[in-house]
Amino acid sequence: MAWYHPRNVGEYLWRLSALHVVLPVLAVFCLALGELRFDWAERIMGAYLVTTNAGRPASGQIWEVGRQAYSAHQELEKIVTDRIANQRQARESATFVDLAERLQPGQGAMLSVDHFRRLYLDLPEAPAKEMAGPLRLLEILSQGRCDRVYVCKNTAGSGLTIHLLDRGNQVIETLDLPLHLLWLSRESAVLHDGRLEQWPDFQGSIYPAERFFRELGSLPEEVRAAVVVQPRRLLEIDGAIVRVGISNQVSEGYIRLGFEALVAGVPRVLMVRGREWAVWQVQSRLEHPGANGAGFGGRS
Amino acid sequence: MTFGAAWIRRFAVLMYLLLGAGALGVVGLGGAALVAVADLPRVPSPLSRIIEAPPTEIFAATGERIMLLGGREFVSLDRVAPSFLQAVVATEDHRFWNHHGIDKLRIVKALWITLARPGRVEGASTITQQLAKNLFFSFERSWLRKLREMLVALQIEAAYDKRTILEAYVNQIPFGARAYGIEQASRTYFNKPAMDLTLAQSALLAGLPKSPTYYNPHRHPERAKSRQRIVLDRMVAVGYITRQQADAAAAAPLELVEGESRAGSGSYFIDWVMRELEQQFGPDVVYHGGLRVTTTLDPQMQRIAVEAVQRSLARLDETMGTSTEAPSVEAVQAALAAVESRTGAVKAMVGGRDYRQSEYNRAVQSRRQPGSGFKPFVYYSAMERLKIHPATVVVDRPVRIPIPGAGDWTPRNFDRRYQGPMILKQALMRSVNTISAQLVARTGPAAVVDTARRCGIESPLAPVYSVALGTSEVSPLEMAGAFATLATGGVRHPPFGIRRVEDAHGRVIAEHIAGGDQVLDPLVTYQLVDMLRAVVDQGTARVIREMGFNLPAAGKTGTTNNYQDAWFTGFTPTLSVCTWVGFDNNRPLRDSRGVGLTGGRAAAPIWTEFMRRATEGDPYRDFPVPDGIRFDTVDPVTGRPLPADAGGMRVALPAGIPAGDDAPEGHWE
Repeated sequence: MAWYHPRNVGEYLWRLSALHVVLPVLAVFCLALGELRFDWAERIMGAYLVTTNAGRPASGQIWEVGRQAYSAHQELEKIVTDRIANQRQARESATFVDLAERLQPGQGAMLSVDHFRRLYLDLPEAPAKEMAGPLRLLEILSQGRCDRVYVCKNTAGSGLTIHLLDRGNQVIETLDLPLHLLWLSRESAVLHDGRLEQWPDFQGSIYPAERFFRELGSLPEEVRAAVVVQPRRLLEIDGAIVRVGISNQVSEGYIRLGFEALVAGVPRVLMVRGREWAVWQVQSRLEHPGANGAGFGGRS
Repeated sequence: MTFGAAWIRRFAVLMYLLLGAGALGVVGLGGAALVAVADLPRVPSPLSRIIEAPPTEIFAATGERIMLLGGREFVSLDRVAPSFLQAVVATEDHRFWNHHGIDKLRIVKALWITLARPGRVEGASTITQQLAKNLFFSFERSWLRKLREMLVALQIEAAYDKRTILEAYVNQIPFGARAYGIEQASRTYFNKPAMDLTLAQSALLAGLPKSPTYYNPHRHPERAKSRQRIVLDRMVAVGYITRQQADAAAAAPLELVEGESRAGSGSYFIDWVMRELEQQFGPDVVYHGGLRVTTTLDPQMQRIAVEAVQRSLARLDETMGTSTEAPSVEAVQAALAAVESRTGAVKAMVGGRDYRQSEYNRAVQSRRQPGSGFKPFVYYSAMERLKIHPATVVVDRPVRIPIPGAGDWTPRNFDRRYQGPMILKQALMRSVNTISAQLVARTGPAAVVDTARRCGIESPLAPVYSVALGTSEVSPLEMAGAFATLATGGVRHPPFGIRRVEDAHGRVIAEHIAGGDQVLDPLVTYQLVDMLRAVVDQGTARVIREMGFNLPAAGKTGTTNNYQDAWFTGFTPTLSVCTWVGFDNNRPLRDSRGVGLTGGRAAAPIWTEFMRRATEGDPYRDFPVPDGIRFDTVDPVTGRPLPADAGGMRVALPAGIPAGDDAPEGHWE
């Protein structure tokens, strides 16, 4: 039978009460009521979202904060690790040379007073004197105010600055240790095998030792002391010094001198450094002997 | 067609339309949900992970914690006063214990209000939705964002029990004043743990998250109080408390801790420290790294500084007839910086009248002309370079200094009068402009700039003659630091605020080493200090003695043209303090009769009030006299030696240099 419009209200209501109409309406009504009463849609949705949680992006403020915290943590760990490594290296340093080699320019490390005292006592005479005389150090340390020592390599990398600190981290005294003095001490600790000619920077400036010392002896005391900063080290050589070489290179106000000695008949060389201004004076006399009316010329 | 059939037809069409719309709505909602679900954020598990980041803690020099930054102070619900939990639930989401993430009835009501009453928007977010919003979403208002928020709320409800959700919520909501979470809020506003909150305090705090700034109880106590009333009424309506309990709580006074958190009084200082930390470690480490920062702040001194500034400003308001309620730009402002001379540690800092009204730190960020406050650098330069001394006779007279390429410079005295010959000490004591001008003409402005730089002034300084009269702008902290160099006999200790920084495990990552450099000649410095003592004892800052500060002190007042700035920077052997007074908009400082206010009248009283209390109980300690200084009594006009009891002026001189006209440079013009 073809579909037609209901012709009156009765027919319309009759059609509305048909099972295929009432059942879906009832079903929808029950669903809506059930949702209002039992929140099943929210529960289902929530449960579904829980199952997909692991695969979703870690986005949003809280994750961003987490990432920032992680990055901060990493950065802090790096700072702390570097600092601890620095401290450990500083603690392991047996000499100031060691310490200076381990520190980068601008970097510093904290030492105990005892450790500092040990490093100081291990310093050769010249750099120790340059930094602070033992009496001065004794005066500072005996006051009992010094709690720790902060050693910092200067940004140019040319020296160590040493701050003696009290408990409140206030500097009681600042001492400077030029690194070239340390290198110098280290250099003069070794006796090299060979002759002066092996070192190209001495070429053309090698003189007989006797003449060198004679010209040196004619100079004032302060000049002599500045040319041979560590005479004791030369005296310790087991053999006669035969020749002296003067380097043609200047480094931080110092010039390298090579003393060639025959040790048990074998030529060996000891390197030391002298202050540039003083070495120039002795070299000038060696090069122009007539100018000062002393000695006779000739390179070796 | 009959009449009835026509109606039936219309009704049927309407029904079909409604059903269609309903179906479309369901499909649309489903589609939107699918879109929203697509990039829904992952919810952390367990939920407490949201408060894992350790806070950065800032401590005063005494060990007192003055600020907690970032992170959260997590407390379990057992350690939160039940009255607070009830207040929050009653106010934010009274069906919290029953719904499953969203409150449909409330949504319908909110929709009805939003649609039926244009201009009024009703919120319907549950506590779970608010938690979702705070954790994952921006404050952008969009339907899609709202839908996502609802979906995350549903997931949170499905995954966690109600107590866990409420615990997460109360531990992360913002309460203003940099307090996040109930424990921080409770300590910030009431200085007590959250478990000890009273009903009145709970209701006050529960009302804040709606708008922490608007209801800030320190700034707007009346708003906070009325919000508290609303919360209490909600608690009555929900049945948590009786009407009598609500009335009693509403009648209780707020009893907030003094200042906006303990950090409040030192907030200018903390801002400064934070900037320094950010520069050194970067913002991530500072805000999320859980640092423990020990600062140099002395809380007691800081409190005294705040009180000194506020009291003095109140007096100035009276004198000037200005309103205490004026907006910050209209109100007279002041700044104070106190530096420990022998280390450079900043002990107290006040950057303005009220941090809550204006966070602009005038002690550090503001650069103003110091006027005569700059003269000590001129006098030092002159004594060092021209080999003159405090008893050298100079002449106060009209001066005209030719400036190549520009017109002549003709500085005048403050009172437009000239006093003729006088010794240098007297000239500084009286702050004579023409003498400073003559000195700078002889040394050259570069020498003055060099001295100021050596003392620690870092602001740009123009090497022009007028630098002698303080025309280059500097900050109060710079001035305090620079005068501290004078207090220590010429040893400069740059001001610093951070003593030590540790990570959350207590490992030291940075510490300040307070070393000093001898930047000035100790003998010349002492002579200058002796001259600056005369400024305090008999000169332009004698108000300090009149107000009863009796310890040895030296300093210099400064007043700029048209009374726009009033300064006093002074020091004792241990503490150097700079005070500044002025308007942000450069309005002149004048009393109600129109008379201009000088540094001695406006700034020195703040200094005195601060120092009187900050040094209370300190032993009498004089400035150490270096070897090579002797004292003479001289005629303040001729510089000739006088017997000690002849009423002359006592001057500190370098040993071996005679005072009076017999000296090689004795009379100098």
